[in-house]
Amino acid sequence: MAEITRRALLALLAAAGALPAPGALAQARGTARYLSSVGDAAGSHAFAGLDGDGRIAFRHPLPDRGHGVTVHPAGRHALIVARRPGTFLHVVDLADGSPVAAVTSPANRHFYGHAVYSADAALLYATENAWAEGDGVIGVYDVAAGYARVGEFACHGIGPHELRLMPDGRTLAVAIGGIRTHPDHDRDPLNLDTMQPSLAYLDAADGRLLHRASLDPALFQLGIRHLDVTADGRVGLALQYEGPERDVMPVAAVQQGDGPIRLLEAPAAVARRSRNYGGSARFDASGRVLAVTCPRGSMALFWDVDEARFLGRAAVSDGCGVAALPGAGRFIIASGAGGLVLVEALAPDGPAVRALAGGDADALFWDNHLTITGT
Amino acid sequence: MHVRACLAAVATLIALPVAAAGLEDAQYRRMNQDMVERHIVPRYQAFAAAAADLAAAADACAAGPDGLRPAFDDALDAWMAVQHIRSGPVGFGMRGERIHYWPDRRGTGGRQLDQMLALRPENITAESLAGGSVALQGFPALERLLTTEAEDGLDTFECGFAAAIADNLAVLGAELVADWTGPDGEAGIIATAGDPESFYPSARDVSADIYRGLYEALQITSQDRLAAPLGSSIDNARPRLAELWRSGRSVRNLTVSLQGMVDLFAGGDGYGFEDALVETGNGTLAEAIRTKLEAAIGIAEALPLPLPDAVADPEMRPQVERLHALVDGVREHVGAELGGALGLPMGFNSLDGD
Repeated sequence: MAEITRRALLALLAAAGALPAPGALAQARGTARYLSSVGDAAGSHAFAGLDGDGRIAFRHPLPDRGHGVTVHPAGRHALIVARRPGTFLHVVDLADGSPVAAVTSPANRHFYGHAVYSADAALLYATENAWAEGDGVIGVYDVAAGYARVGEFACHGIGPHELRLMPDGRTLAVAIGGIRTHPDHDRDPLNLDTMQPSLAYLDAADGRLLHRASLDPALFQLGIRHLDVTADGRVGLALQYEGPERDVMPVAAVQQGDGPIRLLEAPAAVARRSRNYGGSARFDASGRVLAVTCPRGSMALFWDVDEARFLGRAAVSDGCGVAALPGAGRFIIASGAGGLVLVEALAPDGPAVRALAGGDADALFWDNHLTITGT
Repeated sequence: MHVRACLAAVATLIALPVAAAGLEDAQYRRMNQDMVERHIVPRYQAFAAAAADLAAAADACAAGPDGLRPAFDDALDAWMAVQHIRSGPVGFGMRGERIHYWPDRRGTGGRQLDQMLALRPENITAESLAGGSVALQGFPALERLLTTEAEDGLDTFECGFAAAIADNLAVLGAELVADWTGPDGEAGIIATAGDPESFYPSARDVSADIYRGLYEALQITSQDRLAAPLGSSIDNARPRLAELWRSGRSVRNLTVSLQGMVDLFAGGDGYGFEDALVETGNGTLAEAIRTKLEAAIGIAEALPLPLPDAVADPEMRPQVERLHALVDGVREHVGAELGGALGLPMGFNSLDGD
């Protein structure tokens, strides 16, 4: 059997247009830039990293649908959390997708789908369901100890979902969806008549509730599930209404400091196509433009948050995951029907859409959420 | 490193997801145009007209429910013929649920109707119903008024209630037609799919939405219309889970609904999913879907007993089981094969992005 050099193999792979580069071959492709859970036509799921040209840099198989992706502050690793009510959390090496750690939630907890590192990256915080009690908790994991679970604290509400570390590095902002679920009933909501969604600010050191922002009690079924935070501490929210779909409800809001939650409105003809479902929220690099995706309406909506002004919409087939690119008003949005698109939300004639063509993105069905490295 | 090992590694790498085969944009456009112009719009227009006739007939309710029944049947037929369209304006404001809240798995409609009949609120109108429960403003509620409650005749309250439901259906029918054909209507939005001002990113997205509606309709027909009343065995048959069993409409709904799906499949005798399948070399699949649908319709039309009786009848039950197997076979073809063959994704974020 003839020997083949690594250089020759790389040439062979490049010539064949062979795709993802595992392990030592990672340099053949670009560095992972776009990270997300993806599905394929065969129904299997993976944590995928694509480079800036949309070519697969790594593909890490998952037992089921993944959800939120978080990049380690040092930039070498990234993790993906199982979609609720899943129990896995996988940490991979961004160079090649090789496993760094695989965490399983404790027997009486499951993950809600999102996790965030502490400022010094010593700890990881994950939203979890203490389903026997019906309460939401924040599980705390020791990163250096191979992500061993070292404790938890109450998160002061039912159904915590996405969480972020505030710019002070000491405060966790937690989207409290308000919906109680139990693994025996899969994802069925059990308390729609008594929901209490809120945005909770917790002390990352001890879980103490520092502040809670709530909506008008009349909007108690307007669940707060996803959020994003700017460098100056503005919080953008994606909303999901659990009341009758006959009501047309906002899908986006902003809040800052101890101020109220301000709902962001869209024109009626647009709003009714959102089906009251905001899937993901992201600020642009300037912190002024907020994007909220509406997969049920195959569109993303954009607001100038300073002026609470609706900027327009971009049509993206089953688009849900969204990440900010460098530059004001620039986003990348992932399609559940396949593909990534670039959006210029501040284009003169309203948001402009362009497909990221030529790579491997079109062959993947992009699940919620999309995360970008190195910005 | 050995070549064989390397090639094995390459082979596993290449086993990547491939985007499903698809049609040309022009093919999706042609299919959408025919589905809209030859199938969807005429059927919503027919429903709107039948619902308006029902509303007119309901005004004469006091003379006896008998005069109302044919108008009820016609309007319900017209709805069953288009109920498999589940995207676009029918989704706004829960119109589909308001017209026909079924399956009602928790028996909400019956419970709320009992309350309504006990409370007998004054001055029920289409407007007052429209703001309330979806289970009280469409065909299932009207059906119970025209059957169980009509056994001893309909009193003034019951007649007013029936007339309000009929008016509500007429309003919903007119709204659907206006939202499809009016200025800025869905037909225009679909025709310009892919333009920045359209709500559809591409013509393929329109076809995919209609495709998903067809799949859901098949799922409901297989599961709720047939498997549920059949139960696991003749001893476990559940006749009262049959759709609108009080009015004996179960089989009729099923038949008209399946006929509607055949017409959609054929693009209203224009260019539909069926034609696109044949054109892409998937004629066998197209044939299987049509043959099974037509066989299912044939069985349903020939069923000598109402569905609730047939599922518990040793002679007839195998016919219903066969009918269910055929419909479920079509559901399987459509879910697992048709979408892939025509490049129409089921999508998962829109179903539940979390």
